[in-house]
Order: sequence, then structure tokens, then C-alpha cells
Amino acid sequence: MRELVVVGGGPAGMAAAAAAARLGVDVTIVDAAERLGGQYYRQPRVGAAPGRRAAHGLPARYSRLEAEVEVLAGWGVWRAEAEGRQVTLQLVSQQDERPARLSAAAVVLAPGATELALPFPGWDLPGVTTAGAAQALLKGQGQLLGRRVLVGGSGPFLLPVAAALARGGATVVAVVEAAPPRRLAGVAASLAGHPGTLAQALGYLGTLARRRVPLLPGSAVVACEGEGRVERAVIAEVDQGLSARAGGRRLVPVDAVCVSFGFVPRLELVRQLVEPKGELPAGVFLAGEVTGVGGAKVAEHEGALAGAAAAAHLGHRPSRREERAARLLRLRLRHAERLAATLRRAFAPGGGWTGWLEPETLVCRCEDVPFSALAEAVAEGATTARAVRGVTRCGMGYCQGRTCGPALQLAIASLSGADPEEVGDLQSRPVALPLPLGAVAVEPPELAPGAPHR
Amino acid sequence: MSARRPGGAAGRGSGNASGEEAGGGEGRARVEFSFDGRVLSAPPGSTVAAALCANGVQAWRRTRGRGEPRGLFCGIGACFDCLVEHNGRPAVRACVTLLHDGDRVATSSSTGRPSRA
Amino acid sequence: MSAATGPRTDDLPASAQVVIVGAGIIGCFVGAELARAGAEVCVVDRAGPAAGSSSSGEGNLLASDKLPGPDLAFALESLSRWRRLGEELFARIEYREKGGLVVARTEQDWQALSELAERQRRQGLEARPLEGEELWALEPLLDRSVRGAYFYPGDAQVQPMLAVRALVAAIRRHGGRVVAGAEVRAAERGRGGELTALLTTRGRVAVGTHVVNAAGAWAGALSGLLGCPIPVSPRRGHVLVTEPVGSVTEHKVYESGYLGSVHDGDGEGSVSAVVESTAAGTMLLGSSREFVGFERSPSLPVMRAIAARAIALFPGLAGVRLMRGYVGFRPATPDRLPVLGADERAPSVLHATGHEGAGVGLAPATAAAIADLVLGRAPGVDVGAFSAARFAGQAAR
Repeated sequence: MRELVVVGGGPAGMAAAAAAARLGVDVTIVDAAERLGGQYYRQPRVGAAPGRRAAHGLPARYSRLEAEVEVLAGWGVWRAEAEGRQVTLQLVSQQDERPARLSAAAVVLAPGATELALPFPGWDLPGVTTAGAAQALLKGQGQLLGRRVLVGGSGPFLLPVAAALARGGATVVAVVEAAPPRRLAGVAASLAGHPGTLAQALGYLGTLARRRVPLLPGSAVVACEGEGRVERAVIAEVDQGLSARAGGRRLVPVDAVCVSFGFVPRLELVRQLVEPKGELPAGVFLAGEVTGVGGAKVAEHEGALAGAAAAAHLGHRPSRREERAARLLRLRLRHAERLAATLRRAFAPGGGWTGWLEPETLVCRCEDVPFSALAEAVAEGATTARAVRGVTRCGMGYCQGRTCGPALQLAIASLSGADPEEVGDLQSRPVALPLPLGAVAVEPPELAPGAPHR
Repeated sequence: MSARRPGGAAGRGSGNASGEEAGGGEGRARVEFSFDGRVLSAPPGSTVAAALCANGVQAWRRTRGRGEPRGLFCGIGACFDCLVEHNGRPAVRACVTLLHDGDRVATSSSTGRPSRA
Repeated sequence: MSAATGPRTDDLPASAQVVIVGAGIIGCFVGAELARAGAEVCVVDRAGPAAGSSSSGEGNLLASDKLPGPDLAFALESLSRWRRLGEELFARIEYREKGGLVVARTEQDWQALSELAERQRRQGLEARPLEGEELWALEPLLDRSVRGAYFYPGDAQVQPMLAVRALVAAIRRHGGRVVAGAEVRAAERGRGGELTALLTTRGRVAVGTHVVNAAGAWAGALSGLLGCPIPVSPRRGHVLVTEPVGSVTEHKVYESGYLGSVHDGDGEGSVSAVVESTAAGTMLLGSSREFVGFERSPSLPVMRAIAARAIALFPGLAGVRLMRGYVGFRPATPDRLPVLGADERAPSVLHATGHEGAGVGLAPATAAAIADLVLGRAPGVDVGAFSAARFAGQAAR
């Protein structure tokens, strides 16, 4: 049995691992990706030419982490259970779908988030991706999705993606931000107390300005068109609630369209651990986006605190100095969390996007479920995500609602006038990742510490 | 056989990043792989999705219902839109599956398959 | 595009001739049957249509797993009623008469299965023995070590949530109401002790002539509130859902050990293989039976056992991926038979519950029997064997 397993090698997970290791805990990080970093600090692919650094890469403070903790890369966690003083994680190798088991006296869950993608006509055309996909392809693989790229959606994530694509050699056609100029001015004002974030934002804006990339606030990509792949995008002005204004539509030629409306925490492992007793078991700690989307800085602060809390739970007492550091960290976290809350409010999508959809626009990309089917189910009285899923198959495909679930939740809320909380989500997943039945059927061996795992 | 690509994306809409900060493996030995019978190559350490994108292929799955083309979407292994057949294994995520020399990659029909007993 | 109107939600009426508690497949089938016959119907549910066990089963319409006698007779009656519902509806509810295949693994199982099948055939159930090449021709991927099987062409399947959806629409078309979010908290009684109204979380509804207890796995608790407790308890089952897959089998295939676990009251925690495809392309794997209350968190050992048993039946499934899993709660009685009809302890109450895993299949016959009782018609279906009186003095476990 391991002492502490950290699920997720992104900013929160790395900070948790580093903090716990500093306090003398034996730490194991498990992550589905091949290298540490998560999405934010994504490292270039294994085997990439040395000397050419991607936009972020691993910060210097984590450069020794791989030597200090055990890193199990390429393992996904499909199930988590707690019993007594032990948490057991069921793993599946991402490259060959082999099962394995990992048990620990304490666990930090830092699984991060997925992107919120709101459907529009043509969003299922090849060449239309999330902003994160374009980012990951560029950072991890040095690869562009297209030459003429349109970046759209809402939120602070659009700027780094657009800037990276521009620096990587793409022609960024425009950055289409749904929030109106007035709200963006408010966001800018709130950055005053956060010089680091402000400098970062100005850097991105400078990159875009130097390349004459237009920023279009109060607008949205409301449709994409093309034969077998995206060739044109339709940009429309939208009001505060995301309803498209009449007229003023522009058709722009593109090779690729990258959209993002923010992030949704990945809750399936948390739910698996909470559901049996209705509370998080002792010895399980949460950090990062899973506690509420706040970005990398908030995630790292939370991770460091979660790592320290896990260490304390395991009986590693912090020194006075470390206690002082933790108090300081809590203050920093509160400060960063205030900005995160401002950003969440400013960029929360309204429900008007359902007005962009045609009846036949697919909401569920796996099972080909059109918007009309959802609207019909809601009109008949199905007002929870689970109920609508049951009669439409929206969210029943390969991704199990990871992509359409949040959109479904928002669409039902928008159509029925209900609160999204009442509508519920589709994140209760007893199987967090698909794996072969042959791998489920056996009780797999515990991964031996120190042994080569790949 | 026809060399047409599922998305009709021949040669357009993609390319290696050329900017100052992109990571890349250019100039080193490339790995060879086949896609629907065509022989292609990609930098070592590529994911299947990146390798296909590098060759101008934007679509490598046909949906089960309508047979529509699909490719990369979320890029981080969550959406299962980029399913591809890899060395005979059906429906694996191209964006998280690593490519190796000699790999056989094929358009996915969006279903799994019973293994041979 | 946006919906022209908000969602259709029915308010609780001040009164209804028949109040049906439970908007699962049973309550909605009873409601539709009565509403079509002109009765004033109100179906109340603490959540909504098909929110309980109706959305967590496979939607099986089986006669193959019924024991000769009243159990099988009732199933045959119900399946013939499903069959008569008509093509137009079938398309909407994914009705498929795909046939069931019961597989015997050992010589001993084969003898027992053959003996059972012969008795079933004498009662009018169509069943055909298959061995060797004939069996491999029907099921090419079936494990070659099985001894033999019986094919039951009449076994069928529906998608139960779609079936409930169609029934809810029918109830409303005939002027009935389906009220969501109305949990029954208490019963109001008149001076003679007769039941006069139900108090729900959405208010009070006066009862005209009857209350139908169609609360499924929760019917035990409800029957207590109604003054006529019956021993119905939740018997948990797991369903594993695979990725969509090219044809493994076109039938519902299960091992004959399943019959033991269905009918054996002591079969606690038992797992036997049930493998079937769905119209959507996924495969559903079962089955397990446990008494663990309403524990919603699936058990990993049970999931493993289901996967292992399914692979033992179809070795090729080892390479098919598990995509989803869930649990459901069967309304179980001590003798594994339903509780149907009047209860002398509470004259206005009619029970329509306790179907365990067979509720979807048995819904049409149940609805016909209950409607006959409500409307005072000559009974078209014999439910004498399913009276609550047989449990006098027994409590739910």
C-alpha cells in the first residue's frame, strides 16, 4: 500500500505531491497522460527535439518532482473506493488497456476539468475542436490544426490559446469573445490587484495586436459550414444572454475553429467516493478545478494545502515555519479565489445559445441526438438530465455525457426555466473510463512500488 | 485503391508549428505508419491524432448512425470523438494513443468488437 | 429554435377517482388502461416517470424464466398483450421479439433445464432444444463447452423508459394526470376507517374509489402507510453496459443458473450470466441479486463477477469495453411472485407490485387485472394466486 496517491499530474496534483513530499510523505502521482504537467503545464511529447520549449512546459519548481515522487504515467483511474483506512484505485493503462490496482492510506484527487463546449450548427464538422484541443496539439505535439484558425467562445482561456496559435505560425482569423465590452472592462479593472495575471493577459494581447488579430467582444461563432470539414464560420453579435442579434452576420473562411466556454470539473471519482456514505471518506482530499473552476494559480495553492492536509492526516507534523507558510498560502488562495470568482461570473454563459441551434443540430455527438429530441422531451415534462437522457440517449454514448452533459444541463434549464442545479448533471459514473470486460473480470495485482510500470 | 481522405482534407488546414516556441521533433528520424492502407510518416513520440493531423487528415472516424466524418475534438481523451482503429484494436482514442513505427491505423466505424477467443 | 411552451407538468388535482402511487411501468400501464376506459386517473410519483426501477432494468419481456403454474400463465397472458399493442407503438419503444436462449453448462444443468422446458411446453410456452452444430449456428460466439440450450422465440424486450413515456402520453391524452415530485406522506381516513385522501409533498388528493399501490421496490413502505403492510423489499441488481459493438448475439442469452437465482429466496448475492444486445448497439450484462437495502453504490466484486460470467458464456466479450454500470432495485416478495389485487385490510387499496425483475413484462396483464377490479368488470386475468392474503403476518425484510 502506498502512503499518499495523488490522482492527476496537473498544477493541483503536482503542488500537492511536492508539498506532501516536502513533509516527508512517500508520494505517488498517477495520471492518464504520458508526462507530468496536466493541460496547463503540458510538456512536449516524449522524443521531441531538445532545446525547443513549448509555451509553458514544467516550471522550474517542479523540475525535481519526478525524482522525489513516484510517477505512474499513462494510467487512468476508472474506479475509486474507500474502505476503513484505505483507498483503492482501479487503474487501466491508457496504451494497452491493462488493469492494475493501487491502494493508499490517503488520496488527493486533482483530476482537473474538461472544457465546456456549447453546440452550434456545424460544431460536429472535422476541424472544429475545443480550444484546449488546439492548445494540447500545439504544446504537446508541435502541431497546428489549421492555417487559418478562428478562436471563439468565452473566458480568459481564449487569449493564451489564440496567442500560442499565432506564435506557432497560424493565422488567427479573430478571437470571438461572447462577453460584451462593458463586462470585459470590469474584468480588466479587477486585474489591478493581480499584477502577475495582468502581465500575462497583456502579454497575450500584445502578441495578438502585433499580428493584427482582431478581438470581437459581444460576438459568437454561431455556425460552421463545409463539405466534410469546416470551411466557413458564421460570426454573429450576441447579447448578454448569448442570444444572437438580428442581422450583422459575417461569414469567414477558415481551416479550423477552436471554441471554449470555460471548464467543467471532472467529478466522477469524487462522486464514486462520496456516494456510498454521502460524504468524502477520511483520508481523501480534493484540490484544483474539482473544487470549483479557478485556474492554475488557485489550483496550485489548493494543491499545496491539500498535500499538507494529507501529510497531517498521515501523521507528518509540519514545523512552525511550514505552518506559517501554510497560513500565507491560505491568504494567497483567498486572493486568487476572489479573482477566479469574478472571472466565473463575468464569463458564465447565458442560455441564449439554444437559439443558435437548428432542430437537427446534434447535441450528443456520440449518439447523434438532435436538439429537437431534447426540446420534445422537455416539453413532455422531462426536466432532469437523467430523465432526458433516458428517453433521448443524449449522454449514453462513448463519452457518457462528458461532452454533451453540461450542454444538456444548461439546455434543459434554458428550455424549462429550471435552475441548472435542479436539472442535475450526468457525472455520476460508476465506471470513470471504459475498459475491456476482460480487465474488469479479474482482480488485478497491486502495482509494485519501484518496478517499471510501462 | 482510392487515396481520398475521409474528411477530404487533403493537404490543407494543418501543418507543423513553425513559431519560436513550439516543441517539435523535426529533423529526427520519423516513424512510418499506415492509415487505411496508405503509408504515412510522423515525428517520433506523436499521438495517432497528431500524426494524422500532420499528414493533413482531419477525419478518421465515421459515426455509427449517419456515417458522418469526425476527428479531433477535445484533444485530451475526454470526448471519445477521435476514435480510431489502431493495430486491430477498435475504437481507441487517437488523441491519447501513442504511435509507433509500423503501426496500422484505420478509420473507425465507432464500435467495439468481440475479441477472438 | 426553442420549445414553444415550458415543460408539461401536471398539478395535483383536489380529487381523483383512482389515485395510482408510482409512475413506473406498472403504475403508468395501470393508469393508461384505466384512463382509456374512461376512469378519472391521477398517477403520483415522488420523483417522476420511470425514475425508479423502470429505468434501471433491461426491459425484458420473458416467459422463459417463469415456473410452470400461475407464474407462467400470467407471463404468457402478459406477453400476448404486449404483442397486441401494435407495430406503430413498437417502433417508438424499441420492442423487439428477439427470443431468449437459456444455456445449460453442465450435464446436470442440461437435465434440469430439459425437464423444466418440457413442463413449460406442456403449458403452452414455445421452447426448442438446441445442441451442437444447431446451437453454434444460432450463437456462433457462444462458448463451445456448454452442454446445450433451449431457445424461447417468444421472449422479447422493450426500452422501458420509452415505454413509460408512451404510456404517460396516453394517460394525458385520455384526461388523466401524471404528477411528479409528489411523495405520499400519509393517508387520511374517514370515520369508518376508510381511506379518504392521500397527503403528498405536493398537497392533498381526495381518493374517489381506489388507491393503487404501484410503488415498486418502495411498495412495502407505502403499504404500511395505507394500513395494509405487505412484505416487498428491494432486491438489488447490477447492469453493466458495454460500448456499442458489432453483433455478439441477437438474443437474450442467459445461463440456466439464472433460473435458480430468480426463484431461490436464499440466492443472496448470487450472480448468473445474462447477456443481450440492445437496439442502440450496446450490450447489457447482468445479473446479480442482493438484499442490501437501497444501497446505490455499485459493488466492484459484483461487477467483476458479472463480467467474468459473461465472458465465460461469450469469450469474445473479454475484448469488449465496459462503458457504464448501474444498479436497480427489484420489488421482491418472499415467494418471488407479485402481489396483485384487493387487500381486505384496506378495501379501497389495490396492490400492483412485487414483480421483482419481471415488472416490465408483467405490466399489461397487471394493468388489465387492476382495471377489471376498479371498473367492476368480469376478471379477464386470473390473479387469485397473487393475493396479499398469502403473506398474512409476514413483514418485509
